[in-house]
Amino acid sequence: MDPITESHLQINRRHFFGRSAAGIGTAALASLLNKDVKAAENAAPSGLPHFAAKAKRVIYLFQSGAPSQMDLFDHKPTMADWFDKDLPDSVRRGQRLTTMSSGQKRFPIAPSKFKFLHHGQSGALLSELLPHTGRIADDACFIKSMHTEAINHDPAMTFFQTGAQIAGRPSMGSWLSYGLGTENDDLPAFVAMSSRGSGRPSCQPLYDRLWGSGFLPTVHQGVKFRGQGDPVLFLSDPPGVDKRLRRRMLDDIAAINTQRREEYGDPEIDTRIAQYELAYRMQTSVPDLTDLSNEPEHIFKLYGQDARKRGSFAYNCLLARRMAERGVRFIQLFHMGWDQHGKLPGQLPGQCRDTDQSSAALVQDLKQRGLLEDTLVIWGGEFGRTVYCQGKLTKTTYGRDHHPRCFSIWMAGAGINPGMTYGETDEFSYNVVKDPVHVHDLHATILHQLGIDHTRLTYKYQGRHFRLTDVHGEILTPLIS
Amino acid sequence: MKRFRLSFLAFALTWSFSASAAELPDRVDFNFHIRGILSDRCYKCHGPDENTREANLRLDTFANATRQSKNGSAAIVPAAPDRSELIRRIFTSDADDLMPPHDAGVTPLSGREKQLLHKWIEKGAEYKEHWAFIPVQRPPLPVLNDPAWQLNGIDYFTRRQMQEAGIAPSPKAPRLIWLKRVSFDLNGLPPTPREIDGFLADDSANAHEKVVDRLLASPRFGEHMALPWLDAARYADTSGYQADWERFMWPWRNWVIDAFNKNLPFAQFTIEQIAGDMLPNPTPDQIIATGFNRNHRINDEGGVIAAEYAVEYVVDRIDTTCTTWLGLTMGCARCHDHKYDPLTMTDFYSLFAVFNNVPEKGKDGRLGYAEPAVDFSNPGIAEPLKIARAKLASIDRELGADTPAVQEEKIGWGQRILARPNVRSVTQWNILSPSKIEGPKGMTFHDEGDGSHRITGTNPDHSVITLHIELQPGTATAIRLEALKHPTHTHGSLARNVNGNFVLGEFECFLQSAGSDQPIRVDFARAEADHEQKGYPAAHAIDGKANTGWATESHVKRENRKAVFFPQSPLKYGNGDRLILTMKNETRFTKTAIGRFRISTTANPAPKLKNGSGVPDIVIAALRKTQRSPAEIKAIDKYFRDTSLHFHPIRARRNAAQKLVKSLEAKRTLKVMVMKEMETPRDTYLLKRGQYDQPDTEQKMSPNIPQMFGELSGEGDLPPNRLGFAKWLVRPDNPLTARVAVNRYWQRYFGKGLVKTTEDLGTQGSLPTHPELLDWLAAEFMDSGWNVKAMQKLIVMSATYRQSSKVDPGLLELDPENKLYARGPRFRLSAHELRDQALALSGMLSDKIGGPSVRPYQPPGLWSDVSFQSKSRSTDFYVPDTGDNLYRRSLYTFWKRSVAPPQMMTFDAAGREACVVRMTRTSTPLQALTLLNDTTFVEAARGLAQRMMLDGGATPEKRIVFGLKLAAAEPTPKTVAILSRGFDDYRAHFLAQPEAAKELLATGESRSDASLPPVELAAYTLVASTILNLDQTITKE
Repeated sequence: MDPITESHLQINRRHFFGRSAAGIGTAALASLLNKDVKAAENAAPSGLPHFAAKAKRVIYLFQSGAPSQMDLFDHKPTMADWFDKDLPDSVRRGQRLTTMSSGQKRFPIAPSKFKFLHHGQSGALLSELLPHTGRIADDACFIKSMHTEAINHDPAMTFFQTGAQIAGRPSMGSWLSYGLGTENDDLPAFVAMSSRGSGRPSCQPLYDRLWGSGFLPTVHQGVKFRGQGDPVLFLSDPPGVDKRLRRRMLDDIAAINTQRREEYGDPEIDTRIAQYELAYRMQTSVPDLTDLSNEPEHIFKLYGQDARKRGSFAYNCLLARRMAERGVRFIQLFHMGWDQHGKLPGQLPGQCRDTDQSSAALVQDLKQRGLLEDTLVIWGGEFGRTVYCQGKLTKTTYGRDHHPRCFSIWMAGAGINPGMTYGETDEFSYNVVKDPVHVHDLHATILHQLGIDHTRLTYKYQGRHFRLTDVHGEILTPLIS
Repeated sequence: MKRFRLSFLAFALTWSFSASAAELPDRVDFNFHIRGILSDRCYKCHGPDENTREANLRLDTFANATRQSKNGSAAIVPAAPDRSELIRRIFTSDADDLMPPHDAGVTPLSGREKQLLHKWIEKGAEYKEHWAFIPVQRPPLPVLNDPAWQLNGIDYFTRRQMQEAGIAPSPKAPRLIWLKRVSFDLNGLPPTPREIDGFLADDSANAHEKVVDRLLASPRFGEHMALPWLDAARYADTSGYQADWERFMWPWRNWVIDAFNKNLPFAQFTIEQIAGDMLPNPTPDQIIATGFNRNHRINDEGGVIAAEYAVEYVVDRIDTTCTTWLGLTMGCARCHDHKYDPLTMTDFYSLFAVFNNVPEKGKDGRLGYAEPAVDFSNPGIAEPLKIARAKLASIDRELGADTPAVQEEKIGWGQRILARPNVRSVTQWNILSPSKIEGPKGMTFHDEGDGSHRITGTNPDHSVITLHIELQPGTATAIRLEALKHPTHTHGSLARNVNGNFVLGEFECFLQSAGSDQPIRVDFARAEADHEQKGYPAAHAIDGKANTGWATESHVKRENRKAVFFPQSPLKYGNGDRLILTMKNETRFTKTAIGRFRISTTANPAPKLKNGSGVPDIVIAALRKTQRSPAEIKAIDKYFRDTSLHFHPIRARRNAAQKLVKSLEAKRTLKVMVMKEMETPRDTYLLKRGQYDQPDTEQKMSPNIPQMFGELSGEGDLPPNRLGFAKWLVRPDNPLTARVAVNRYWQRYFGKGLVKTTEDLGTQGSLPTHPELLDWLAAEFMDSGWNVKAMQKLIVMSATYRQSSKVDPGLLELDPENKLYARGPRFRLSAHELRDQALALSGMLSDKIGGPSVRPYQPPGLWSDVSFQSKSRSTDFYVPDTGDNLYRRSLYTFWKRSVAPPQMMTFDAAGREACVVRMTRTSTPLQALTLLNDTTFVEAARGLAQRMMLDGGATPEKRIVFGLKLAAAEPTPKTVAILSRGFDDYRAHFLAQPEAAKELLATGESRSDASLPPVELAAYTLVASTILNLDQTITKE
């Protein structure tokens, strides 16, 4: 090969493999990664990470539908005396409501039915529905003062994942893939998985855009790991084709492509050859990842026996740990079913059974493997729920509508202060009264832990330098050790 | 202006390469060197947006940038960089003074950029208007001294820049390569073997032109041109938010395909899509065309605030329209004045007023459309419906046939019915026909012929209706009142009031002996009904209270009902006695009289309300009689044919046939979303910070174009509305539309625009690599009468396009992105082209044009994994089609926005949630997995293998050469040798494992050709799959 072509190839390979946390030499899974040598104008940004990162990866346990904060995290004991009394106007302050409850004649308060218990040295107060989360209370940081802008699921989830309510922007994970590349050889940089809640099995829908790449090149979109069929679409060879035949085909394709490369001189052909090799490697690396047969029994005890059930939240949690071990940068779980407009006391225990044990297990498991130090785990939904009852309120049951003004999440690992509770709401869990945290602030903080200045991770599109945090976002310094 | 322009053009000659060189250019030009720096790093705080302007300094105009501040300094002092504050602040080592500030969130200036600013100010700091905002003027063709090479005007411009850079064009592409290139570019499909042979053998001078003309005349042209237009128009088959309901906008897609095929001039194409509904006497097609601006997403989530989304739809229309036609990022001016381009919030909300006058709801879309919409009769349905109806009619004839066998069967059947114990115990009711009915003035009663009467005439709020019935001697143990449905009732239910729900206040009964004029009241012991609305039991009709009554919630449960009233003791009557019944409708509800009623009595000592036998009352009553009315005979016959075992198989066929007819009828007319103007225009206000609930009532807006381009004066052909806006788009003095259009055409052929940022020709966009060429093409386009086909032909007939895409290392080094066009384009086929190519090569591609979207193969569960999983919503579970619909062109693949077709998305297709006009190409391992393993491609490989075996000749070599030729791939000896050795290996493998061969061949719905030996076919299938995965197959070279 002549020197000039060789030099081009070098450049091309650098793009091709992306930057890697471990430095040169760690091959990156190409453009599952980032590579489009022709789009030099919008090539991956330089100078990243901007500073030393605390987190190498993120596992986001997204609870889709909006878990009720005052039934799980944000204990409001005085509400017991307010049963069926009207929410004072001085609290609501004319805030807009969804059209599902804005027509109600009354907004009667529904105190939580659930007991709260103290946990750990930090004494974190958690609902009786979350006994396992209690076990990691001293590892987690509970934020009770989250707030957001949208009041319905689609725009709120889109906002949470992309920083904008209207579709079209890249999701969190794709920003990271774009900014940081990958740190593994044969798996995607960004993976999404979904599971159904047993509290409300048919709700809420999810959409590709939640892990989509928006205006970023599609190589940055999250790869969906599925609960049925091939874990990654089209991973399996066709029936009747075994590994040896596949290898032979790939060798022939490579040989003919190499011939074309020599004739046409287009470095894109090298990329193509490498992508076919990577595809072949994925056919081994993905089954290896999803093969839980070598996980010992105590692991299933820790995560719960649901972890044996493909497609369950617990299974996805265990898979998330295995992905973390293999260098997947952004692992996002979506657990559905948290939309308790009615029959909340009937539905919530099921949702918690789905998620409580395995979420806590994931943190414990990462910790005992030394991975929690550089893995950021986040648990939470897209908004909160109203203290007032939607629909009929009785002594035994109630429902809650969407509430953007406050909700609770928790984070653990990667330099986030453990055993901490941050932010406060009023006695109705209606308004934030101390240390508000906007979704943009959370995004800024996540990026910060990954060594990224959120104002400097930008992509020029339609003449504008877009960022995940738009023009907002404050880093939550009190949370960071 | 003219002088100004020439300098811009002259300048451009030397631009493209000096820009990447390390040394500074001889002349520093504002448009080419400076504006980008200023707008990217400075305008954010020192640009057109007043609200974010710092230090009262703006650098986007000469006057402001050079104005002296109070302390006597000026940002820019022309020809005096040393006295210019700007220069001091960008070179300073004082971190507090440095511009742009560290925390401004913009990239710091590079050394070269600082030097450029310095040199520009040194040379006088000349400002120029942004190139794309200057109206197009046709530049003269450059004079060149190599007449042999250039074929048309395009080549003069590209060649001159090659000369400037000191390089020569590439040789012509081999004819086969050119043919494949142009076939994909104009039709999106590979050439057929016949087309290949024909062209390779055609040594006439216009052989290329003949090919181009053939491709332009093919209906595939319209389909292929439509695709990027659908991406821009964010066309999809679902509404896009949460539940993602199905919608039916494909008639608009039909319109687009058709418009390209009949070469509708782009000006007309524009006007009809933006404002076809506002043309004088618009045709139905011109109205359908306006669907362009209804293809946006529409929200129907439960809690949505309608006003919020009504605003988003208008914003989407502005964004999409301005990107598609003007290459402007208008959305930036929604919340604040544009930070880079001279576009203000006032401009934005003037456009808002253009698109805000649609009678739409913010929350809508559940029914397959959102208002406004028009009926569209589905042309594909008429024929199948005719056939289905004929079939149904023939089954009905069979079902109605009175053959001897049927008559024989019927005789015993009636007796067997009556002999059933549960029929024997059914109360026998005798229908009584009133001799006279009295009601309020104007109310009349129509005899329905079945013993029932229906109220006609007036329907006063309250009424008392009295029935007089002449009696035969007998006994009555109970009186039954039936309330019956009728099509003239509200919702076809039981009453004529507002919602179809009757309320019977009181039901009274009197017996009048013959000869007496004194009716004696009959008291009821109790009442029963087959249905009672909560709080309205039948007992309320005999409680003596006028304001309570019997009701059956017939406004929602639209069923026939009956109530039975039991006298305290059985009534006995003789000849000439008369029964008088009164229905009083005097509750607080109005007009709630039972619309159609029937009275009957029974002598059964233990009368029962419910029949309970499963056989209809009328059938039992008729069978019990010896003298039957025609209606009764008919009822018996119908029941016989509906239930008798004799007819069972025919009924099953009838049910299927009827289901088909109904489903076709449901599809016969569609509602298609279109644009429409409200008669009373909706008020538009500037929205503070772009918020839907923050109108600035001080600032009422009227429809207009951005001020920098003039105004919709209302004079001539520019009325201040959507139609005026549409016409302005295609006026010759509009500086953007033609440039934007030809720039995107160029992108189709060369993979990138002459302005690379095809979505943004504003100041933040890329600069054109060939500004004169762009203007020349724009002028050609307009002067040709916006002739779309002619423009495509011009580009593909150029020598620039005809070059080989082989690149030597020297040229690659010099021009890695092919900005000089000294070689032909080479890039991967698009998602749609790849699938269509595989189907075409397999011989399975359907050539049907237009119509509803289809559902080809997709791995199971992709939709239902993340949907509401409602069986009644067509977009919650994916049910693949069968037959021909599996093999339609990818343009017709059903596009569900929230879960887009994975094969398409893996190959960089636009997501269709928002307008996309820039083409991107990436290379990933997921693409390899798709091409190797997806059912579509495996089945297509088998199809290709079959063609190789059937049409390719007798030997493996010949068949392999034929397969490569089908794919327009080069059959070099080495390639053929590799594939032949592969074939031997595969054949040996499948010989040893014939089951594996069968498994492979079973992929997909179509059956493999049984005449071909499975082992061989399987081996060729893997060879064909290899061919379908070669870089040269999946690349336009």
